[in-house]
Amino acid sequence: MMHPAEERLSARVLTDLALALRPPVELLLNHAIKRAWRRSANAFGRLGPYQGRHYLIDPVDLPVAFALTLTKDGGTVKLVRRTRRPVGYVAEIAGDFVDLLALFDGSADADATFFAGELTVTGETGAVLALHNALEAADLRLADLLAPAALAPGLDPVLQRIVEWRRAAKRTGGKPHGVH
Amino acid sequence: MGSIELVCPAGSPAMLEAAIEAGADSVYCGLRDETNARNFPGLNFDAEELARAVDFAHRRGAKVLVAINTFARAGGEDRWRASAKTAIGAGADAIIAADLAVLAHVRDLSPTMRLHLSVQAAANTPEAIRFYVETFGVRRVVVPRVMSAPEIAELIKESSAEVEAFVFGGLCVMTEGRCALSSYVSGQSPNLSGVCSPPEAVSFERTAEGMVSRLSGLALDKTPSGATAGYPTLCKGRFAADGEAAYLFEEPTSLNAMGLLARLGEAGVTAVKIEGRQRGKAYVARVTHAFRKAIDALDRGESTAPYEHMLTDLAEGGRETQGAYNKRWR
Repeated sequence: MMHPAEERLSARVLTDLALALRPPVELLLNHAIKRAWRRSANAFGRLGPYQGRHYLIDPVDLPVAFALTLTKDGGTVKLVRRTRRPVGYVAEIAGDFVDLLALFDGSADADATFFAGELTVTGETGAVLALHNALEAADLRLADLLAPAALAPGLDPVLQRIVEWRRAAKRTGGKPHGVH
Repeated sequence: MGSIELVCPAGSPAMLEAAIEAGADSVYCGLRDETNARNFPGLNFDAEELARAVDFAHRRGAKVLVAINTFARAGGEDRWRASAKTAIGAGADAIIAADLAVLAHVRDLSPTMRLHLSVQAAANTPEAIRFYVETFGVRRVVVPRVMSAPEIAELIKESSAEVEAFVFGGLCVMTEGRCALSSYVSGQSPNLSGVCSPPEAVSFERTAEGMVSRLSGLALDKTPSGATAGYPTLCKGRFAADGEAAYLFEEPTSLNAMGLLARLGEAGVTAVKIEGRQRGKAYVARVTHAFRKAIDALDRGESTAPYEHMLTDLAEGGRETQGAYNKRWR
């Protein structure tokens, strides 16, 4: 078992490593938003008064969090330190990375994830609902978020399967169905 | 379509397409304002989206029912009139309404438009149904979720309209259209504003012990981390009485009456309805798929049992009930 000081150091090293990857990761995610906006600009309008407001998306099992801002003309994503995040978020959505991915592409039901205690939301509840409904309408695929545009169509089924597999593994205590 | 029409929720165009592709015979939806009982941020359809959705549905042999089912506000009736005009203009197959003024307006504006009486009207006697049929030409009645299966069977014997019954999703324990709990605390209710527990009045607070949900600052429940939770509504709040905290009105649980489909069909129920326009495409695709399978199985003379436990993880609080259909408390 790790000493608390070692744990803190390890977390800091992982965060620094993740933040070192910030430029390519942000580039990929910002391109994803731009593509989603080009495909369904109307969906972003569903944010209503929450356009331009900042959301904190916190995958609790990753070393960093994401600051998401969507506007009627597109939006941005930034990687942020969980421990030194700026204030002023309209809402914060926290959960395991695979659950958040499944919520973003609409393959998981947000209410069921919340009922199961796998998702926590704080801040303005209306902002969370508006984001959920805007993402639903945008009809994002996992590959839109995780892969360059050229590779997205081919990669989507593979990514879907990986996320489904990881989520199933979580529910069965780390062991996916059919894996012995 | 099978022997029972499957009516599914659509909170967005993406959800509507998912429902139809999963086997819905009809979908119901609302416009983006207080004229329907799911008036949540970012949800629902604008006029253009509705027209496109009707076209999409009709090309696939499905129907679109538009809910204009809140009660018109004095001085603000134009909004309800505008919604009726938009739904008729979009080519909707029926309008679901509860308010006498809205029903009368649709009847006068488009005498051929099918009118369905919303569950919000809480019509649960043959006399009440007869009044709506004779006065407004209502063709279908959505029966309240507080009626038992035998009561519905009795009602159908004397009903001059088709009957539609909820079979899955959220439950209201109050006589529908007459619940004042949400407006008592937040000033807004499903009947008038289209929202129960309006999101701007709801907050969640993370504490060392778990999550506290609040409505207008009043604590509704405290859920330990990782434990199952319900919707932040007053009827699902946990209250202390006689030194013990308990769900006094209703436990967080969802209706699943798939096991009663055969009985409801035999009783003469024309259509069964899935609740949940506020959920999403993953929810509607799974629930529609399961109920499509169940109805098709019944039509082949087979049991619905293989499909009855496919949806438990979608239920509020992770638990399902047959609700008032199996009423034993009155």
